Amino acid sequence: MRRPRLAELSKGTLIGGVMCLLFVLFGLIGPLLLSRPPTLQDLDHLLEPPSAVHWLGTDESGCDLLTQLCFGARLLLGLATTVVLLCMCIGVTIGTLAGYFGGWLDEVVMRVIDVLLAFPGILLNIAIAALVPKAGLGVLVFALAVNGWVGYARVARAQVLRVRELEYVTAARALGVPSARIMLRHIVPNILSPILVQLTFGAAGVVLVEASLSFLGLGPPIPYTWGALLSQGTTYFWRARHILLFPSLSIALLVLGCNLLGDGLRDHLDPRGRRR
Amino acid sequence: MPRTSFRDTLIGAWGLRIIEGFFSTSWRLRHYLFRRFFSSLVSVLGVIVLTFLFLHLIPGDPVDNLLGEDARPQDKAELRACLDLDQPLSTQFGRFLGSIADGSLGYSCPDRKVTVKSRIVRALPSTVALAMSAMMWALPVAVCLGVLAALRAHTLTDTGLTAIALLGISIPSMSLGPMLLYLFYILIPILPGPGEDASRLRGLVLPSIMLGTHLLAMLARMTRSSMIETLSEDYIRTARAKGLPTWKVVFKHALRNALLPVITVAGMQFGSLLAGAVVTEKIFARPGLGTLLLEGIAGRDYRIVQGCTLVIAGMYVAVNLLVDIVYAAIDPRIRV
Repeated sequence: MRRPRLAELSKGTLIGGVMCLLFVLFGLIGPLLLSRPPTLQDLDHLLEPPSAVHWLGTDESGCDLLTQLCFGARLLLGLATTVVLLCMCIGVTIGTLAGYFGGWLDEVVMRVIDVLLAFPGILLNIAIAALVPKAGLGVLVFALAVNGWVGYARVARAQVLRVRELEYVTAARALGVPSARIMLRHIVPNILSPILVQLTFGAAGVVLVEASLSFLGLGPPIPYTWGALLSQGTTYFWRARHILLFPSLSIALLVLGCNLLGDGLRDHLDPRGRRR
Repeated sequence: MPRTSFRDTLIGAWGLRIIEGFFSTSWRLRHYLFRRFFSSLVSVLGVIVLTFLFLHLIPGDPVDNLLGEDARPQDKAELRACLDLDQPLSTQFGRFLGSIADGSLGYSCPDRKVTVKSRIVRALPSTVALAMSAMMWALPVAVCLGVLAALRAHTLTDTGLTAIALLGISIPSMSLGPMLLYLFYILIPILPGPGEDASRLRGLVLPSIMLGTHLLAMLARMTRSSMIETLSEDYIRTARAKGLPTWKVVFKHALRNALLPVITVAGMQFGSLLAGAVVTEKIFARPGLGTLLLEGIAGRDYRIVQGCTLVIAGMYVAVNLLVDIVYAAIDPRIRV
């Protein structure tokens, strides 16, 4: 895979990339610059609009919204990275094995994928999060990973079906290279670019599902995840507009960034869709 | 493609082709439909097994999970008996299948008087109405916007529409709902607020806008790219070279082909609308499957959660199968 030069990427891709990068910096460096913890309550200033002290205002228990968003970003960064990498590892392994060996293994994998895809949207996540006794970050990761790997597996399988017929794979096989080594050294590195695209969309999905689950009261019991902030915003929206506005904006911008980056990378990697 | 007027295409041809498709089909189509039907059946069976195993797949004692560890022992025993958890796994599964077969979906668990079916039947129409209304405005609007963007590709109009579509995909629906309510219920009080007029058409407007926005954005993007791809095909150049008027080329030659993938995706998204209705119904305090599901979760009523999941997933699979059959019937490339 040739590394794309920055100048070759479209404007949208660059904007998306910058937005994602800003989010990462916000989550990594932001909490270090802030002096107070996100749960510190300023009881003289409840539900206050943005001011010099509280740049983005405060929520109903007087917590500073900017601080909460900042720590929430760090949490979300960790969560999204964990879920996306976990799903990718599971998905690529299963998809590659299914695509390479074919036969009954492929058949079983595809049927399992069909079953998981038969649950629309976040329904499966809701059902899992609802049945555990105590919600937490681990539960969230589990609920998201249960059907999250499917997308990666399908992409990986489709790619392997294409790559395994190529001459260098046949050559490797003819030389007697063991299957495991063919898959690891010759196939997986060559199917990574569409997986990369899938990663960015996956991250956007994690953000939205976390927001939905927190809104339904099934998220982790942490008051400052972006989903929890959004959910609190919808509750107190009638009294203070800003506490819905800023979390919504943060989530929308991050998802927008991921989408722009993903679209751009896909167009770049797929010559058919490239604009002239 | 046979020569038909645009009106015929819209009104009659699809229906005719579906019927025609079933009777005059080649072996390959029948084989395809059979395979597709079979895999749907496997999906449904898988969904049933997975829904059944929900309780067992999650670590820990299911009764402890539902009631909490410090619940009274007699409550635990009662719930265990009610959920058949005191039976061996095979008996449990048999009874679960039985409850699906007789349509009752089992009894609601803390109180055994109502069947899950009766509650779902009461909740279902409202959710289906919501999902259908969202689909009914989102699909046509998306097609219009998508075609417009494709015809004006790489101009300011296109960029603007693409930006709006991206925004529609990115904005979380939880923030869209309250904003709509703020605009049309508080600032300009023309539409009913949460919990009001839920059964009337007026009460459906805001929820269906909220539910449909994401779909609209997605379908508009798909229509645009599908249309751009179709417009670059050879037969479009031929049609233009023949001297046909642009509108005829666009609507008769291009749109018909460009719409196929869009309609497929729209059909597949119908199930997602049912799942998305959970959030919408909560914001607008509407009765429906989503509300029932949340009630089941809050009341630790496992059978309700199971029943709602099963019904939504079942409808999803059925709609997908239907879309595929229609697709096979109207797309000659699959038929021959």
